[in-house]
Amino acid sequence: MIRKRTEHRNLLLIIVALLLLSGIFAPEYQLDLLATAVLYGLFATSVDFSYGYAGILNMGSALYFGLGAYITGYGLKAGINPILLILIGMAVSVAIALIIGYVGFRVKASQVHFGIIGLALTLGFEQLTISLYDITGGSNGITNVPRPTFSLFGMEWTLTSPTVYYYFVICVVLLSFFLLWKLANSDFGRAMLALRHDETKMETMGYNPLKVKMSVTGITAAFSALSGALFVPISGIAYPGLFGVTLSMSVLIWVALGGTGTLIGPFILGALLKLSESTLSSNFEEIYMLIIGLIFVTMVILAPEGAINLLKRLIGWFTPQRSKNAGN
Amino acid sequence: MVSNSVLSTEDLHKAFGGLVVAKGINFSVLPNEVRCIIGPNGAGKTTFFNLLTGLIPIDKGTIRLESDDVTALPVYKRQQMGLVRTFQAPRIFPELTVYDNVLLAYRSKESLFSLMKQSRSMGNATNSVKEALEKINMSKYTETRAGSLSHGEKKRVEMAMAIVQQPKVLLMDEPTAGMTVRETQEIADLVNLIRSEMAVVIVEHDMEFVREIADKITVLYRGDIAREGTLDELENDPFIQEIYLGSVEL
Repeated sequence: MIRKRTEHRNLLLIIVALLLLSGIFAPEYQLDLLATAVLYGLFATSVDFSYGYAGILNMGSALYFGLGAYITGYGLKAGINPILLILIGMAVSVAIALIIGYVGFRVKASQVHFGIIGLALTLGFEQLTISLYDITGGSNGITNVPRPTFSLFGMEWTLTSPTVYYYFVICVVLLSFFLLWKLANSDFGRAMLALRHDETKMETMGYNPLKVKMSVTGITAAFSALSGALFVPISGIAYPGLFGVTLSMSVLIWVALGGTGTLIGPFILGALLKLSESTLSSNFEEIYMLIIGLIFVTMVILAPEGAINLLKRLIGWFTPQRSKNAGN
Repeated sequence: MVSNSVLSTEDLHKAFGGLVVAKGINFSVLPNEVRCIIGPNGAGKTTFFNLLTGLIPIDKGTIRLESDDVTALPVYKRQQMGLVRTFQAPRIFPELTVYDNVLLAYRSKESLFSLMKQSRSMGNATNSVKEALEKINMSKYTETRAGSLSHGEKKRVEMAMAIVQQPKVLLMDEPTAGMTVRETQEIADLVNLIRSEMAVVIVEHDMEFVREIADKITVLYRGDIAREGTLDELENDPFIQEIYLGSVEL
């Protein structure tokens, strides 16, 4: 499958425009919701980077999201510079990911076994945060996390307003997405695709599969942690559920339904589903999860290759045929 | 053991339980030599390649690339030192274009960080990839998705991926399998073209192809070297005829 870079780029530009305009026209109380949705979209994109491209299945990617959230939450309450906290959260997540990767990939754990390792760890961290009450607040989590204010380049940055924080999040998310996009479309991205297809061949070509996989896992962990770190000032709380199985499984579903190996598909679907979940839970409190489930089932039936590919097909039906000399 | 060999093995042993697939093989290839390995099915030819490249660990013995002992080195390290192979069934990356397949092979020695920076060294890379594709007559398929190629075309792409890495020794496992007469001749022409740059070791069954390109032939039989020599020397050897059930003219 060769990525249709031009089509995805156009779609991305539309999304960027919508996000920027939303900050101007949407009510402030909705901007937090939008920012949250976009952060979950970035989380889904980071997971797609490792699963969709390199075929690395991690059923516990919420571990990194949660780490980013907790480190930032704890540090913001202590008055530590939020940029430093984000970097620490990303560094800690990368370090843990590299350790997990080294252990799991070195013994050539199968895709499923490696996924289960991640799942077990995220469950373990969830229990750990519950038990370390004095540090993490236990089941209640770290509450009353303030929005950040900090000094950088000799200037005071105050991100307490929902609108300002929204644009801050949008800028960081778009920059992050761009970086992941560039990586995925570089020769490194092609190496990931090749590795997913035939690891032995890659090895006989001179690539160290362990190194490639660890790099991919580290990159995913970094951006997952970034998502969590930026999320917690919006929610005001870092809670054990951020490490939970539900979030880990949800993000994999977003990736699968959005279109694996597209980056933009999981981003859009993750964001939209998070928005839908919030809207549905407000209006259909008792059955919103059932509705979400039905949406998933419908999408699997209508778009087994992912929502982004369904969208491309729909666009193809309604636009004139161009030259067929576009590869696949 | 020949001291100026580019690839050599000493007393190579490998067994899978009771099945012995390498019985103390002593093998050596000179620089720029074209060596063909022949033998009946089940003789251990592909297994021998797997042992040389490290895909299967040996039980005992030594493998050297020039003077370097590569016995304990992992597969990717041996490749980086100049031992490159192709497979019996072509192994390429179908989702990528022909160009990207070969480029990925070319850039295998670079760091991962370098791969992330797409534009670096693209000038040299582009020239090398194009040169490799020209050698195998696949220049017009540069932007074609590799998965859509025919069997013979995929084999040629895999050869381009191998030669673009400028190996010291190229191991080719049945390069003419499934190829047409014309394609087989093109492979022979390719081998004659690259022999000045590298040693080539070829596992083959096509004796006409072997006759055209081989400097020397090694006959493998039941995990050991039965005979070595030129085609003229082996042609009338009764033992060789016998292991082929007396039905093959060399």
